Amino acid sequence: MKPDEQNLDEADRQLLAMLRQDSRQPVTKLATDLGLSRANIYARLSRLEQDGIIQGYTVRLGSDYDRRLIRAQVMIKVQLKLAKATEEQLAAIAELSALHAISGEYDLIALIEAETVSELNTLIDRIGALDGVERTTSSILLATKILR
Amino acid sequence: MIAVEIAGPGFLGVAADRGDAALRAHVMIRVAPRDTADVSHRLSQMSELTALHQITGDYDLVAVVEAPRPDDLERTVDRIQAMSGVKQAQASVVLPRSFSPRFG
Repeated sequence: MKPDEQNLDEADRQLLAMLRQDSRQPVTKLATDLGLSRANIYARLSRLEQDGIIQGYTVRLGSDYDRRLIRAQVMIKVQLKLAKATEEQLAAIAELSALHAISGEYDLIALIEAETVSELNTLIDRIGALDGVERTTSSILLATKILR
Repeated sequence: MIAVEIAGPGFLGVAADRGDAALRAHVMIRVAPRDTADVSHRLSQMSELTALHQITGDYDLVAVVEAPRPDDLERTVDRIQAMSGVKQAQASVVLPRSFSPRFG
């Protein structure tokens, strides 16, 4: 099969299909299954990542655990002088699963997740305690009705 | 280095959460309790809507809408504000920026 527009050959496509099923497969296994050397697999992965065809490797949470997680959106106003440093500090918080800049009264909106309301509270306090955070307002997501 | 991220139930929308660039507004909506179902239904019929969450606090719903151009986005937000059952709608534009490899 000829390489297509993005220069993916058949082995690349098979590699992607295997990773989509389970991205934790060891390179040794991928190599064996595809009949290629490990070096070849590493090279392909590197290229796919560089070209942006692979943007990341994710975790699909089991639905029980997922359903138990409590999520909240936190709107954050930052001090202009400390904006960049504060954004980096926020991005480093593991329980933050999203961070976006917004227009309006607040500068950022973050999505945080925790197993209990108490932990959520602790996270919100942690965010509020950052030097550059002037104020925050938080809402727990009670239900996601639509996601498209 | 490729970042590892947890894929949760989603926030702004399928494409948005993937980091897809588009013009979006995050709209906080206040409704009269008895109008929640009606307003939710009407919002769901908007093709611009990519996410709808029920929330705690001063507002009742968060809607995320996408549009091709700023004036389209403005019209979409206006439509939400004018919707019957909507007491107040406060919109912010989601700005295209990324902060770290995790969210880039």
